[in-house]
Amino acid sequence: MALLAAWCPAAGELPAAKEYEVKAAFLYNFTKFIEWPPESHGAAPGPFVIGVIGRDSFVTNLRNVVRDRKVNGRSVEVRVLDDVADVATVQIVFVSGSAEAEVGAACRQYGVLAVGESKEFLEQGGAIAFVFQEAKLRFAINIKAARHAGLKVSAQLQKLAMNVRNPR
Amino acid sequence: MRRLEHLPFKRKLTVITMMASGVALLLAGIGFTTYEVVVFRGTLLDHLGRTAQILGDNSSAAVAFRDPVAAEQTLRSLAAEPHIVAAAIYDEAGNVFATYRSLTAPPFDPPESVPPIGHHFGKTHLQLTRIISAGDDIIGAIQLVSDLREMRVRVWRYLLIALAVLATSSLGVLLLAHQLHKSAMRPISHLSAVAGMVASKRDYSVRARKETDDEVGGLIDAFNDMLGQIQLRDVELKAAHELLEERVAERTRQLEEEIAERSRSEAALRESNRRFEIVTRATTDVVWDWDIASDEIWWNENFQQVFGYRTESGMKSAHSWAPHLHPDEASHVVAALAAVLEGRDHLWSKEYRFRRADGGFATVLDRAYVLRDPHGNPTRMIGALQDVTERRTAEAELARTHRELVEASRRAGQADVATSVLHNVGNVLNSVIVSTTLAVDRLRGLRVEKIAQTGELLRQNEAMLGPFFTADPKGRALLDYLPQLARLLATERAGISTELELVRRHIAHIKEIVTEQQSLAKSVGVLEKVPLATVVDDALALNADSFERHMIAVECRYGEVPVFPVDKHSVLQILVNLIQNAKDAVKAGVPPGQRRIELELIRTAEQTVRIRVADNGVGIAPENLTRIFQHGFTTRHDGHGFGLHSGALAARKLGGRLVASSPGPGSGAAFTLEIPIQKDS
Repeated sequence: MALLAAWCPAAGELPAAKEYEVKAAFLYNFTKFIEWPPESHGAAPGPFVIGVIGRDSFVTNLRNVVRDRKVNGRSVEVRVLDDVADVATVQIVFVSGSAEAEVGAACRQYGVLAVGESKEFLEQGGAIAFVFQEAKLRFAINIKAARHAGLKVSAQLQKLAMNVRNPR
Repeated sequence: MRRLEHLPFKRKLTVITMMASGVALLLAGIGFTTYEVVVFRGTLLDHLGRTAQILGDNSSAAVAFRDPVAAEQTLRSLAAEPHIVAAAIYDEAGNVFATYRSLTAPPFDPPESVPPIGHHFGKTHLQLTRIISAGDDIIGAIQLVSDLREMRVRVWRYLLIALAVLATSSLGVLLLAHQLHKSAMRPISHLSAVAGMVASKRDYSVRARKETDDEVGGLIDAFNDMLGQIQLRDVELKAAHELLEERVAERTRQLEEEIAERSRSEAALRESNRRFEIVTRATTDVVWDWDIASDEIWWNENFQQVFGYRTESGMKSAHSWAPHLHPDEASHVVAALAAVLEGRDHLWSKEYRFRRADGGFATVLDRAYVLRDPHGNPTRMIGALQDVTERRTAEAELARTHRELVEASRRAGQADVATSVLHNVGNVLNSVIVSTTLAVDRLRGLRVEKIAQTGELLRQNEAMLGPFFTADPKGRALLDYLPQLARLLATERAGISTELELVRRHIAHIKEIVTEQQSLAKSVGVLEKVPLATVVDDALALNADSFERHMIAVECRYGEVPVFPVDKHSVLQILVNLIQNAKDAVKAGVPPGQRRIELELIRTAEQTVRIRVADNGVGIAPENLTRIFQHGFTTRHDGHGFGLHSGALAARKLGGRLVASSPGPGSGAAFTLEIPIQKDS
């Protein structure tokens, strides 16, 4: 937490509204550089679902981004997940705040990309975590966790990601 | 191209070959270069497009996650492509996201905002823009800028190569053409050389060698044929030429002779002209030269002096000459001139009056010569005008004086009669004196003293007359002498009585003259029936002594003439005058011994008798033939100009006439008295 606190002032440089607009865009962009296992879509190809936990206002940001967009030919749906158990029904789950640990564990299941907002989330089993570096929003990836979830992260994305183990 | 026409054939061929091959190579070079440029551009575009695609893909994540550092890192890989001088990545909003600049190339700044997708070939650079997509979304754009220098370098290289190839191939073509021309040109050159030899040496016996069967071979055959024909013609021409030369030489000789002849005649003409010029200057006559064909008259300078006209003003044609004639005789003179021009005569002479510049008339004697062409047509007339005004004036003056004198004597009246009487009486008195003198001489020469001497001789021998006549030779001679003396005395008496008879007749004549003169007062002559032959004899007898003295032969011819009443004394007086004139004429004009006078009496017609007195003396000038009958006219210094005048008057009184004729001075003269035969009344 101390570490996170250390990040906070940095995070605070971006206005909260702006910060989440960018995060929403990033979240959508991840769909382009990550390959989901075929099983994650279920038998019948339905919409690509992004779930939000712990911060309901982010749904609005997300919906602004994904409006009229498609992922792998599927329409995108954004929904608030009230229950952690619902994680299994989405392809991406964004976790904000206290629910990270719980979700992190829950997300260690096949076909769901878990995105959080702290480095600890990666250690708790999350695949990607937003981090700030020099007032810029960046992200870190836990390749192991992603592989475990059956997700193929493109090399480009990996190159862009921060090395968590060796934060500068 | 025009310049090409004047080149020698060989050069022409070479130039054509060179130009053809050069054009072909140039076209090929241009084609290849163009093709190369097109291909290069395609390749470059392809390559650039692929590169942009790869870079766009590789940088899509960086764009998506707004990591310009990562994007620029990706672009940095372009360093491996030296021809890409700049690159830029634009984000979704179109703003520059990341840039790249080649360190080696000149700086090139990509546009600030995203350019249109596609490519653009600039002068120096090729700009290519591609989208960057992630999944289904377009997230940005990438632009690559390629330097076209490489292409230019390549094009230059190609051009250089093409040029090198062109030069090399041209050299090859030149060498090849040289060789080919040699083989193609040799027959033509040979033909040309043979033609040149023929032209320079005029040797038509040479022939060109035929080596090929192409067009040149055909040309050589034709050329040889032509030479053969020329050779034939040349021989003919030479023969003709020699003939011509002979003719030319002959003609030249003739021409030279003609020219020499002409120059001689020209010199003669010049000399003649010069003489003419000098004569026209020397003479005081007005010389004129009338060209009849052109009707132009040339006058010498005297024209101005004599008539006062300026020679240059007018008077250049016969039409201007005629109006200057005196109105009274103009038509007459012009007609005379026309007559001589129409006739065949060459000489023309006319006296007429010509108007001077001052308005007066000059009397001129115009003598001219007509030049005629071979047909006799007049071509030119040259003449000389002699101003005889003064002479004629003087003559007129003289004639007037004569007339005045005659008039004066007429007025004197008796003077004329007296002169006539004295003249005739004087003539007869001359004869009287001569006859008297002769009679006196004869009387003096009578040997009367011889009779006295004879008487004295007889008286001395009175005593013995018998022996004197028989013994003395003187006495014997005396017997013969006395009859002789008697005969001589008888002869002398007869002579003296003849002379005295003449004297008597002369005196009778004088008496008759006086009688006639007295009867003349009554204007009637005494008519006597006398034979004219007697009258002629009388007239001759009156001069007989002069004929002897001056050794003049006189011949008389009497024809059959009837005896009719005639004024004997008038006839005698006329004849005496004529005979004395004839005597004077032969005395003055002919040496003694050749002097002749002829008298002739014949009947010339039924009613006319003619007495002609002709001599071979001094003759009479034509102009004087009529004037001699004028009163007071004489050609003798001691004459008084009355004889012929009164003779003519007397002849008229007889009803006849007295006419003089003479071929001219020195050729004698003849006077004819014609008398009508009077019927017995």
